[in-house]
This record gives sequence, C-alpha cells and structure tokens, in this order.
Amino acid sequence: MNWRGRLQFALLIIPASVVVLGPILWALSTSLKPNDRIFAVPPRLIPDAPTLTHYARLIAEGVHWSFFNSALYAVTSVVAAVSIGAVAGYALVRFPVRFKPLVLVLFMAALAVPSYALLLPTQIIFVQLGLFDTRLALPILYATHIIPFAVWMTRAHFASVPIELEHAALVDGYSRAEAVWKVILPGAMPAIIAASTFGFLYSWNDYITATTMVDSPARRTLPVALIFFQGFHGRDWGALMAGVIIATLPPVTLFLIFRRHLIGGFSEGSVKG
Amino acid sequence: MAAISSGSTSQTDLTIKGTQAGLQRVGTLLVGPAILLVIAVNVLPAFVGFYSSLRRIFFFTDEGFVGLDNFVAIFSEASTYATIARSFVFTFGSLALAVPLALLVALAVRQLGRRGRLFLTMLLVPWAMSPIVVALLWKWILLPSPGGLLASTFIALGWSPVALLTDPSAAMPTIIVVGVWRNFAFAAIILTAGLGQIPNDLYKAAAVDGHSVWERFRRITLPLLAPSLLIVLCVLTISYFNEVQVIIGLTTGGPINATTTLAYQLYQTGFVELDQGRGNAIAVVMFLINLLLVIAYVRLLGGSKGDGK
Amino acid sequence: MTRSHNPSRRDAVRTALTAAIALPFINTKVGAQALSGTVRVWSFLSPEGQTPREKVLKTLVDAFRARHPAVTITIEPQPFQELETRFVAAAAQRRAPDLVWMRDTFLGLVHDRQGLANLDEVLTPEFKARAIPDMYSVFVEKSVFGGFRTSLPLWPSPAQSIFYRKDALGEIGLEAPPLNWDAFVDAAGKLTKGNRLGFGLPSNDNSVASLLNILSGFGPDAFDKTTGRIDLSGPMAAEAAGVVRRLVSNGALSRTLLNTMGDDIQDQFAAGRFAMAQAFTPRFDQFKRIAAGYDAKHLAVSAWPSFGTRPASVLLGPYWTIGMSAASTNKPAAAAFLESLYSPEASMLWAKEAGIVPDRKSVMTDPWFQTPAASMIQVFVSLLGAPGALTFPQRLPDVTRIFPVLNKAQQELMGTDEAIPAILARARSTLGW
Repeated sequence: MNWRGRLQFALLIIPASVVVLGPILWALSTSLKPNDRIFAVPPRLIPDAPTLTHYARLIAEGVHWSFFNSALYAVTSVVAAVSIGAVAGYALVRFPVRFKPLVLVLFMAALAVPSYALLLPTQIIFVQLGLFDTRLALPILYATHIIPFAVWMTRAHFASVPIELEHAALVDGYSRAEAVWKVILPGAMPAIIAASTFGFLYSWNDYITATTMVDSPARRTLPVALIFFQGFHGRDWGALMAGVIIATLPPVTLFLIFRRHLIGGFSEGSVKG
Repeated sequence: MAAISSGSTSQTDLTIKGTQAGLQRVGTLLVGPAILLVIAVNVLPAFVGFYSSLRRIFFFTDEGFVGLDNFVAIFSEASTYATIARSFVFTFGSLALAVPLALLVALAVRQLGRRGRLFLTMLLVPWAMSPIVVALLWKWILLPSPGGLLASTFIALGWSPVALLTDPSAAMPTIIVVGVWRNFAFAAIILTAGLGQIPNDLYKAAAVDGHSVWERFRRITLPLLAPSLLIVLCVLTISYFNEVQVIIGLTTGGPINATTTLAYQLYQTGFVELDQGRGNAIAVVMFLINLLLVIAYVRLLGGSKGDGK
Repeated sequence: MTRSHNPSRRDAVRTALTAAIALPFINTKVGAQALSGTVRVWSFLSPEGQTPREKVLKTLVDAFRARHPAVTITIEPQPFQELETRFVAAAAQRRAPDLVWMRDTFLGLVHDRQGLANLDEVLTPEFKARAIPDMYSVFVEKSVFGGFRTSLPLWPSPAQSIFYRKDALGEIGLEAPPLNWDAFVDAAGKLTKGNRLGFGLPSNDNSVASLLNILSGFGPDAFDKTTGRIDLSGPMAAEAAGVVRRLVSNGALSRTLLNTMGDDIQDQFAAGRFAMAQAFTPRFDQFKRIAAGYDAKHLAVSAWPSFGTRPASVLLGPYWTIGMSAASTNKPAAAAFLESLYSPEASMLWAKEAGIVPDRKSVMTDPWFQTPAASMIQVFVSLLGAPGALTFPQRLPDVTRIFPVLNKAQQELMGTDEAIPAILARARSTLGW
C-alpha cells in the first residue's frame, strides 16, 4: 500500500478506533479500579492499584448463573428460529405457498410493532398458559422475534440459487430432502450464520422482555442481573463496568469468529433479498 | 428485493413430483410453524394490547371500557405534539448522522479491501452490545465533572465542561450521538454490499468520459445504491423511532422533557405512571406511525422492489 | 447458587451471633407448631449479596432455619423500584410470593388491589403485645388502613436528610447547615467556590421530589387534611419554589445540572462536587465508602431547614415495609419468619452490622449504643424524634404521577426563567388538581 493509502488508512482508523473502542477500554479500566479511586480526578486510564474485587463480587452474587441462563436461552432460540426460519425461507422460494405476499407483509408488520408494547398482554397470556417464569418463556419469545429475520436472510439466499442445482442433485439420485441437505444447505451457510449471529445478539442483549417474563433469580438473564448493581445503595460503577465487560465479551467474540460470514450474509440478504 | 416468480418453479416441479395442490400443502406445512409462532406471539398480544387501549387500566386494575378516551386524552394534550416532534427530531437527526457516516465507512471499506473488512468488524463492536449495556457505559462516561471521563477530557483540552446529559440544549444531540455510535456500522455493512454490486466498468467509463469524482458519485453510486439505501433507511428508522433503552438509561426523558420521545412517553405512561390503558394507546399510535414510515419509504425509494421484504 | 466459604473473623462472629439468636428458641417450642414448607420472599436484598444489609439478612435466614429446619426460605431479589408493581401483577395472576418488601408510598395502591393479608390475623398475640408497641408508631400507624394492618415497617430512618461536609462548612465558619431557609440559602451561596457547588438537589426520581422536601419545612400543614394534596397555587408552594429560584440565582444550584437522580448526586458528591446535598439517609455508609474528592471523615447529616420559626423538618419517607400476600399458602411459617426479623436480637444485628436504627426501641438501652461505633445511629435517632419530623399522608394522591410532575416543575424552576406561578399552575393542571 502506498503512502497515500497508508495515510488515509491511519487518518480513518485512529479516530474511529478511539471513538468506537475507547469507551469499552474505559469500562475495562474502571472495572479494575478500587472503589475509592473510581471517582478520582483527573481520571486515569491505567489503574495504579488494579484489583479484581468487582469481578469477585459479581461471581459471589451469582452472575455466572445469569451468564449461563443467557447463553442457554440464546442458543435454544437461535437453533429453533433458524431451523424454522430456514425451512420457511426455502419453502417460500421453492413452493407455491398460498397467500405468499400476505405472509411477507405479516413478517414485516411483526417487526414494526414496538415489542415492549406487547409485554403486558404477553405476560398475561403466558401466565395463563403456565409458561411464565419458566425456562421456555424467553426462548419462545426470542425465537419468534428472530424468525422473520431468518426467513428474510435465507429466502434471499435460496432465491439466488438456481433451481438447476437441485435438479442436478435429483437426477443424480438424491431424494428431495437429501438434495437440500447435502447440496443446498452448505451453500446457505453464510445466510444461516448471519441469521444465527443476529439471533444470538438479539437474545443475549435483550433486557426488557427478559425482565418482564422472568421473576425468579434462578432463571434470570445477564442484562437483568446487572441492573441490581444500580441498586438501593446507589450505583456501584466498578461492578457495573465489570458487568459491562462480562456482558460484552461473548457477543463480540462470536462476532470476531464469524465476521466474514456475518458481513457476507448480511450483504447477500440486503442486495438480493 | 425482486421475488423470483413462483410460476416457472412450480411448472418444473410439476414434472418431477406431485400435483399443484400437493405442493401447496407441503409448502404451507413448511412455512406453517413460522407463521403460527409469529401470529401467536406477536399478533395476538397486539390485539390484546389494542383492546386494552380502549379501556382504563391503572396499576393492573381494569376499570372498564372507555372507548377512544385514551386517544382523545393523548391528542388533546399540547405536549403530545411536542413529543411526536421530538421523536422525529431524534429519528431523522440520527439518520442524518448515521447514513452519511455509514456511506463514508462503506466507501472506505471498499477502497481498503481486506483491511477494510477488519476495520468494519471493529466498528461493529458497539452494535454487538446490549442497549442497556451501552446506556450504562455512556452514562458512566458522560457523568458531569468532576469524575466523568468526557468532562475531564474537555477540561484537559481547555474547553468548559458542559454537562451533556443534564443540559437541556445538549441532551438530545448527545443521545443521538450515542444511538448512532451503537448501530451505524450495521448500516455500513449493508451499504458496503450494495456498493459491491456496482460494476467497476461503469466508473471506468465515466472516468474516461471526463466526469469528476463527485459527478460519478452522484450519477452512478447513489442511484445504484438506492435499493440498499432503502433497506438501511427502513431498518434504521424503525430502530431509532422505537429506541427507548438509551433514553431510559441516560436521561430518563429529561431534562425538562428535552428527550421525551413518543417511545419514552410510552415507557413513562405505561411503566412508571402505570396508566396501562393509555400506555397501550400510545403503542397503537406508534405502530401506526411505524407502518406509515415504512410504506412511505417503499413508495418513495423502492418502486421496483416488489413485495418489500 | 453456592458461595465459597472464606473463613474470617467476621464470619466467625456472625456464626456465633446466629447461634446466640437461635439458641433461646431451640429450647422453646414456639407456639407448639412444627412449621414446614416454603416461604417465598421478594426483596431487593439478595442472600448472596455483599452489602452489610444483605449479610444481616442471610444471618437471620440461617438463624430461622436453625430453629425451623423444615421450612425453606427462598429470597428472590427483584429490582428495588419494581417490587410493588411486580407484586401486584403477580397477585393478579395468582403467583404472588408469601412476603414482599414494599415502599410505604405505594402501600395504599397495593392494598386497594386486595393482594395483602391483614397481618393482625397472622401475627402471634405475643408479637402484637410486645413487639408492635416497641416499634416507632409514626411508621407502624401508616401501615394500618381502617384497622387493616397491611405491613410492618422496617429499618426506621430519617429518610430525607441533608448530607454535608464539615470541612466545607468550616470555611464559612459554620458547624452545621442553618436550619432556617433564609440563612440556608445564604450559606449555600457562599459555599459555592470554583468547581464546587453549594447544594446538590436531585430533580429526577420516581419516588422523591425535592420540592416536597422543601415544602415539608411548613410541617404537616403543607398537605391538605382530606385529599392529601398540596395547594400548588397557594403561598406555601410559591415560597418553596422561591427557595429553589434563590438557590439558583446565588449560584448554589447549577442551572444546567438538571435531570440528576439521587444516584447522580451521590456519585458527584463523592467526587467533591457539592458542599451539601439532599440524600437518602440509609446511604450514609455508602457515601462514606466512595468519598474520593474529600476526606470521608468530614461527612455529616443534618435535618432540613424549615420556614419561619418552625422546627427543622425531616421527611420520614419513603421507607420500606414488609407485607404478606393474601393468597399465601404458608401463612404460619411466613408470619414466623416475618416476626424473626423484628426480634430484639435481630434489631441489634441490623444496628451493629448495617448501621441502621433498631426497629425495637427497647434495645437502645444496650451499652453498645453508647460507643463511638453507634454515633451515627444516635444522630439518626435524634432526627427521627425531632419535633419537625413528619411523614407523607397515608394516601398520597396520584402517587405514580406526583413525583415526575413535581420534578419536572423543579427542573423548570432551575433551568428556565419562567415565572413561578406559571410553572406551578402547569404542574397543577397536569395532575388534574
């Protein structure tokens, strides 16, 4: 890369990094400071007396259980949503489904409803169905929110795959199902991974639905557990920032691992959709 | 998003397997679970919510049918119009910041190739964070001086430390910036892909014809980017219009209502003041506005886009 | 959820204390009942929590289990601002816990929805005869609605007080803030120096309004006897608003520090931003712990100023109470656990380990309260018993809206130049008063 390119790159990257990653570094720094240094003026980026007490406190108060719950709900809802969504996406492209435009409008309208307006009615319905405050409640709600997205992404992809590919597989002797499983699906991986990552992010990061549908601490998610550090005694910024770091690590890690598919998958969905 | 017409598909399938009706049944069966779930979990409660908006419900006690009273009360209060105006200021203010930024990033990423993708990944990190986590983080950074990071930076630079979240004139711009910080990179991904669809030859030809960079941008890039722009605008508009977690976490609608958007008003009415009938009425209003916005976009920008999403 | 045990001297003391509490009861058969089953408790405290109050709760739970091994106490922490709403929703949906912590301001509303049991029907006669008269009647009476005892008050405290820095006040030759508003405004103005503001007033909280605190300087007359409303178009409200305006004009209050919650004031106080501030008294220890911009030993508490010659006021609320669900299926065990939180031994624990005024007045005779460690508790008790101490009316009208509306009015008083009558009139019409 020539010097002009490098300069452009630097001029772009450095301010962007500061703005984007700076806050998170500051959160990390705060989470490692003892309580009486957190408000010290002027603020220092590198703590001079780093401590792990905030993380220890989070663990002592059982944050790992919320972490586990969040992960469980996220994985379950993603698996359910992407399975159902991909099947539906495929069907919408390959089969003559009745009222197809209506179906797509339905999905779009579902995304237009502000979800927390549905909270109270949903809570009442769930209580009557005996689902309130169970391990099923949140996965069901999350999966349903992810499905329209999964359908969108996979449908966009399947629409771009020529039917001839499937026919070739059928001619080779595979059944319809086998053809899809062995030939079509692998190619849809980017779209599926994109939808899964989106789904995971949505489930992992949700706060409002989680706090309304689950009352008992044993089934709580991580974002809800973090609220307790803004509690009756004031705000414990050290613990809150430690919580921010803990809550941010899994989604960001997933991001980094699947970034190529994610960026690819989204782009595909948006262009060909 | 062009839909592949199902006509040709089904004719080919016909020769391979089954009857039209049979195919339709299989298709419906495959799409069924998705539709059922969405209806059960999204549509049904929406109807209950709509029904509740016609009743007076306070603190979980249903006090009876009141017809359109909730709606009349909402629209006869002068503050409602200011609130809706603020929602639009927040939404379009955020768009005005996010979309050009995303476009800039998309252009840069295109130029930079592999490194560009890495850059984009880094920019996406805020989007991977929970809105409530973002609110907590920025609340911490924006604490007024002394002690707050941003305030201290201002002081260090010799500027006066404006209390961004508690100053009525600074609060709205601040939450716009935080909102954009969180998700402009997502728009950048979509625009990057959209840019990738534009054949390079078009640019080369235009360069040969002597068009300037700006003209090339205006005549080639923008028009061909329109489909992606439509998606970005749609998704971001709905996202910003319904944004509430950032406002709850940073300003709780203040100071002096400066950041009370319709979405926040819904939270305030339904969850703080516990006037749940009226809260649901606000939700109905929001839903209608959401729908109108999406339809407007599709009409204005996406005539060729068939059945939308 | 398990906790790793880290033996330390404090834990040993606590274990000994637990045993000491349990011992007297193990030998007597309390009411000859064998209590069993589960008792579900909703509180903002967590049994795994690390704050002093939470550790005391855990000790009390363990002591109760030692006495009644067949009872399981399950404490389910809920966000502290949502306890009342969650409880009402749960009661309506028939899944309410057995015991629930509530703030007194919302008691009337919760009681109206018939979710609470009448404690007089479940508490033991002994408790009613010995414990209840031994508790602070100003709080106890507020829980009784027409003969129906909805809850028991917990942790009596002079809730709304003024925290101040003795070093800052010393600069202008004062030992404590003046207890008359005119003098207070004056002093607050003088205390503003450089980056430091004389007074910190939150203007954004859904259960506290500084304007009400200022109004409490007029005594109980500020609240209408029948409706519980404040006359927002009357002279008292105007004068209270005037105090805010004067504090802004002499620099004690910042025009742009609107929208701050009690938490924000707490954080900034720690950084040295205020000489005095409105604060929630139970947070005293926390304020001390996070002090960074000043020396924590200078932190002190004072009552609120009043108007004219009235005694200094202290607003005794909001405070916590504990109620029982009307639909509870294990009332005997729940009642027994509830009573155990108010025993003299429990009161001593709350006081010694968490710095709280004991619920049982009689334990104040214990020699420990004469030691320096109990000095803050003595200050709190004197504030509690001060002639100007008052509580909100039992039913505060429009309680879910009064605080946001008054806070908004206060923000307008602080941040704009609009005329006071106009601001108050708008608040009045928003509330529909």
